[in-house]
Amino acid sequence: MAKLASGLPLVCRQVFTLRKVYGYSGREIAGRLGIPERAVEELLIQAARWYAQADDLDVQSLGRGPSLTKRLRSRIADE
Amino acid sequence: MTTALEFEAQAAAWLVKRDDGPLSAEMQAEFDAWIASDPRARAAYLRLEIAWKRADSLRRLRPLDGDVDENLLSHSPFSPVPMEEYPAREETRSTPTAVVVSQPDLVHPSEAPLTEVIEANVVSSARRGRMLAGLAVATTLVFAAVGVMMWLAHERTGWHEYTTDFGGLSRIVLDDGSVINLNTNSVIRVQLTAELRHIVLERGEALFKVAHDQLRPFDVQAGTTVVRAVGTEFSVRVRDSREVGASGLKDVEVLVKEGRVAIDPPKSEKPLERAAVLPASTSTLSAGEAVVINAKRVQVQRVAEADVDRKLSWTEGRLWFERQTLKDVVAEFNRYNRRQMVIADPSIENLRIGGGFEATDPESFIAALERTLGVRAFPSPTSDGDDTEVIRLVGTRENSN
Repeated sequence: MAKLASGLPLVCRQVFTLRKVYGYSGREIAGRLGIPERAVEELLIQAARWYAQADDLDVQSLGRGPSLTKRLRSRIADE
Repeated sequence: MTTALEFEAQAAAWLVKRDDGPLSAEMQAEFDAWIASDPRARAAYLRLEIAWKRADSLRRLRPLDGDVDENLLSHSPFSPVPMEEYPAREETRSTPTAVVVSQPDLVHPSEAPLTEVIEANVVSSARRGRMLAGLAVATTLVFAAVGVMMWLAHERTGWHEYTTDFGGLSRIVLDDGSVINLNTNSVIRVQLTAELRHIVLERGEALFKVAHDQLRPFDVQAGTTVVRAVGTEFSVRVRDSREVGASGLKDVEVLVKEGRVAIDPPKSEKPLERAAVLPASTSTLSAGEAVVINAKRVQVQRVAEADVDRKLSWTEGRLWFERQTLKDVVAEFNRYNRRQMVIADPSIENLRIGGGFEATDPESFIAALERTLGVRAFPSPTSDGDDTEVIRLVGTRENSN
């Protein structure tokens, strides 16, 4: 998972955060980051696939720590 | 031949399109066709959708003024946190009395404890150890709050409970005309209101023949999964998760005999909308389809018509097997009988079994085993020393190689 996450470009993480934390539409994200809407879509696709995979791993590791969502959340809260 | 990765890529593309707003009629039709084209397409889509919906809970981090926090944007949450930083959940089990501490505000059980989680994490890193412990406790509280909620909900009036014992089989006709066949060792609760027919399958298995009522959906809740029907016939089975490390969770199996049902997969943030019209596309199952939902995945399978009947033969008190392993067959018999069978010889676990048997007559089954497969059966006391006995099955030389 670590490898997977570090392989994810910053802009992809930003797009994910704007969608999931702020609820921005594709157009709004494109406007904010100054990239084409089509690119936002591609980045979201990447993020969705990454997230599902991380989520799978997360479920497999049940009982070994807080869920992925919680870890992401605690990560944000830390920063 | 489309590969799993290609299905995943297509599914992700659809997910993102649908996530960004309603599709045009043509796009919707295209999506419906795509998802119906292959069970693997549907499975890939469901998997991504569940994870994506789960991420919606991150919405709560949004600052109250709604402004985008630049800091949060540049340090996004993706940096991995090593697992070792977190205490094993076993350690948190030592605080079971924390159970009812959390507010039993029943409307949003999942929301309140989250605040605690976030607060627990804002503390400085010097106190990290304690913070993590707090986080773990908060996690326990989330589960506790949900438990309390469910318990209180059942305290409300209007619930009827039906149970069966080992080997029991019960037929329940509800006021709306729907019929429920309740299999062995099962518990079900039913509440009929003007808007909803609400069923909770607490344990075991049931077949539902739902009377048609457009205005009153028929919801069957099993574990955290909800199956919704309007007028159809389907079975649901719930059992404790068999996945390693997923203790406390439930595995759910749904088999549709007739018509169509919608599945609200576990842990999605929003329950199904209260609309009698099923959503056009995503999480629906049609006749001859089955889905297995567990902690790891949602798996859709096609089931041939003959197999549907075979799988539902329990409604007549019979068990039909077709090339199933002895291990599975024994597990199935054990659902119906107090007198349990145990395979005491690993070499016979994978013998293939076929045929029809009375569910509550394992003796005939054992006789057939001894006659045709050379398996020997020995009654013996259980290890806990009470007067129940188990039947131990062992192989003979002919079948042990």
